[in-house]
Amino acid sequence: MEFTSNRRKLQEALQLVGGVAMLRTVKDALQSVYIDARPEGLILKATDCEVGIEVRIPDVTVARTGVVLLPAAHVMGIFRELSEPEVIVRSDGSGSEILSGRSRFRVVELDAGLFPGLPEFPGVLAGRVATADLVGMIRHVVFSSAEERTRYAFDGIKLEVCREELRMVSTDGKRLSYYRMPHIQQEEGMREALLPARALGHFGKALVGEGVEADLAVEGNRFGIRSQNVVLYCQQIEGSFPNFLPLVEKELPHHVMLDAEELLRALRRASVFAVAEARVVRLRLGAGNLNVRSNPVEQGEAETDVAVEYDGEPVELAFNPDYLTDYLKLVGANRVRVDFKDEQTASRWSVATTPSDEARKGELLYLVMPVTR
Amino acid sequence: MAIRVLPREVVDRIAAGEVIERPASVVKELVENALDAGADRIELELEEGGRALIRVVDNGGGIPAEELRLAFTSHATSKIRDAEELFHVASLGFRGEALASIAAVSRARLRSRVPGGEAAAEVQAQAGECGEPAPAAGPEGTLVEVRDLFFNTPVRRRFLKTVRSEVGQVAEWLTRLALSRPDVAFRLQNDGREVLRLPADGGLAARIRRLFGPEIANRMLPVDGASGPMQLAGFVLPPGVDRPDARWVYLFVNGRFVRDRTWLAGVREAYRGLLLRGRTPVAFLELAVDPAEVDVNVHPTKEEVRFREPSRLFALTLRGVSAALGRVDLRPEIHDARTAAAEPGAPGPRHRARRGSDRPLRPDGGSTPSSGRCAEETTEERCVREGPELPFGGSSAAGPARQFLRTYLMRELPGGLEVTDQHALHERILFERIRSRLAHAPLPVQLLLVPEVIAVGPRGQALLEGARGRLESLGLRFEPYGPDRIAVGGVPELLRKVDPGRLVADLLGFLEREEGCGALEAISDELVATLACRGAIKAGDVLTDGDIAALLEQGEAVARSPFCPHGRPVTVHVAVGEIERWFRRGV
Repeated sequence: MEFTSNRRKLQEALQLVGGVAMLRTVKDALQSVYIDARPEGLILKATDCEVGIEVRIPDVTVARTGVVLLPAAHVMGIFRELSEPEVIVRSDGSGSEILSGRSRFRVVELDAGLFPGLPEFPGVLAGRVATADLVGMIRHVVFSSAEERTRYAFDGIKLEVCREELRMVSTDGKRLSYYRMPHIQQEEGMREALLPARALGHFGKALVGEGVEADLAVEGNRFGIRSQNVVLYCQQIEGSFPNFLPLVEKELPHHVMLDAEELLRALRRASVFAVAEARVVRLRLGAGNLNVRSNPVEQGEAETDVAVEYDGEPVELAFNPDYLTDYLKLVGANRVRVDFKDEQTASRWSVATTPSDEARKGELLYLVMPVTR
Repeated sequence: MAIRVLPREVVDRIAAGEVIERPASVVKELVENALDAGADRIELELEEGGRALIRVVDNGGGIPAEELRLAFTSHATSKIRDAEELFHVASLGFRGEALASIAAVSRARLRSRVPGGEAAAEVQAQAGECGEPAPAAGPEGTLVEVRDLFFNTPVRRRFLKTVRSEVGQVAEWLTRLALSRPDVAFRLQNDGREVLRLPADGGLAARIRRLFGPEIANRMLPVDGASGPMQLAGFVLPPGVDRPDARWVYLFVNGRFVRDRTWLAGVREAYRGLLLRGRTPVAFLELAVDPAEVDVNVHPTKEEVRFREPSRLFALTLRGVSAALGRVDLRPEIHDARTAAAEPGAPGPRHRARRGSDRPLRPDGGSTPSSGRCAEETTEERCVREGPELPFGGSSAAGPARQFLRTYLMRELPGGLEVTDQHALHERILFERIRSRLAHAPLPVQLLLVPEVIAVGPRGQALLEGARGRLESLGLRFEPYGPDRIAVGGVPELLRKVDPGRLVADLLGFLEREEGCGALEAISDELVATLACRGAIKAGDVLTDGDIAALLEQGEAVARSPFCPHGRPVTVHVAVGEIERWFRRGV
């Protein structure tokens, strides 16, 4: 096997594929990248048994076809150090040479027969969606999922494909992201999947700038996304996702309108004293004003006032500032509407839609539970 | 069967059974009598561990010949006269039962001569029957011989243990009595061999040295304090010289050895967080108190007493012992070679006095060991430079720290190498922070969007419900959910990343262990320790250089104790001398 490729393209593909290989520490053969050089281009594959990825690089000069299985960590390490525009990869059956500029690396190959292969792409098409929308959707929900794997169902992201809407929801028990997007579906009925958040986060990266449209497919406990040059697989998570709709649709009597960037700045200032053992900021709402201050600690305190649209009773809500900044960073320069009831109940955050951005595709509803004493 | 009044000898044997269990109880009663008689030299001889013979000879006030018979009579005593005096007992005994009880289950001989008396007189008793006094030859003072103990109660005789074990019991009681009266000389022999010889010593410290050796005596920390009518004095040992049981906690009230749960709890409380769970410190404490403040007439053997103000004693002990511990640097240190040479066989980690003036008392008047000079001096310099309250002192002069085995942080300090357990340190930091935070206000609660339902069983539900107040101040919100589950609606904000199920399981484990006992404070501390442990970085977590520096810096700012809340050491110092010894340098 021998091919010549654009160094940067190959490196990007290796990072995506290698990232999957390194998701978990299992067998050597799984922490490896499978490279198949064909006349029409390269196919890179990796899997950790639960998650699989396949990336195609079409414009590659293949001098000699063949397959190799290379240890992911070494190959990624090598490419991180390369800066030349082109790279040549040449295999002699026992080892692979990677040549770039005046550097030469030799990597011992693994037995390609050990590569477990990827599952067949699920046969049931659940929907077709613009890749850019899908990437945005993933980005809007993945941050709310549990970081740790202890609460198993919360480690997952729920995907619902309906006839007119595509929905994704994730929660770590303290906050919840609910993203929905108009979607035209040919078939009847709703399909849903519970997907591992880490895999989906990785998929989001793999799909950036990739093709125009992507197919979503579900079959049994397998889930797949296929776009022009990337195919992604994962197993669904077992478990039941909490019943979130009553939470999202709950009637909340009060609301405030505010500027996301201003609040973000105020929160960052207050967070200076939101020490690790009590990450708490207090939002005190009065007529037309929101006072954002840190929970006073031994080290000091900080407060900032933000002008808001509010004419209700004074109220104080306390939050972990990270939960709010995570959201506000996503929202960017926008007016935000916060619906709330009291200091014990989840507040609902959403971008206040103005007639001008009717065309915007998706909508994120974000629920945050407060902190109390 | 008809109800009948029991014959006198049966009554006597029953009464004897309460007081006289084994040779050690005979020894205790007889030696207490000797002490009450004002003796300053007491000799004890055993044969077959006391089964065949117990002989106690004292040089005390003696008993006049005409009262000898009376001494064997039940409820006959010279120590109190009426019920009123029962509440002001200053002597060790007062019940007037000891000799009668002993005589009821043995063949006893009592010989006594009052000081200045012309001759001694003696009387013999057997199975409770007392003979006539007869003139005899003997020195001033009293001799009591008890032969064939339990000869007429064969069941009890069968329950006696081996000679060695009985001698051990006798020695333990003698130790207690000897600690209470360092001014009295004691000698114990068994089958002609000397077991213990204690000349009259100057004070408690010297007596402890003689009984427990220099290893204990050199490291004792003096305790003293007073509160109202109570005067507390004595010594405690630093953590590291601890035991799995409370046997080496010697507590004396007005010279009487006692076991008292409140008092012991006070001692333990002072060591909270300094010892591994289940370990008990070594302590020798004496309480001087108006006899009216303590009721000794609670139990036949008088080991248990009742205090009028137990909480005062608890507080006094906690304060006194904490102060004693607070005066030393508790950092464990690996032995310096020269220390080891100076004190062969010294076990475990050494604990160093922080300042010269507060060195542990050296009863022999000797200077502190000249060992570990280099480390010692630098410690003092550091304290001068940075103030005395920096148990992890010395960051300004410390080298950069490195992580080792993803578990330990190592850095160079003046005079040695410091090794820190990253989990233990972080746990200690969190523990102190949460505790200080709790002192001001309850911990913030992160409410949960979806309550987490956790199966805890009906008993677990009841336990949690019982501790609701404490748990809520720690930031846990929960409601019963059916008969055997709870729904957790909020978790301590500090532990937002911890799985609620695991947190509740941990808390339940603690509540189960502590059910029905333990001060509220202790529960709270233990819960805080659980929170701290759950929230702390773990062994095996990779830390960046920034993390390491921040962690060590926080440790210096916050940590009071060199142990994690569960009592494992946080930091160990390896002195330069020790390292030099590895390489055979400069020794």
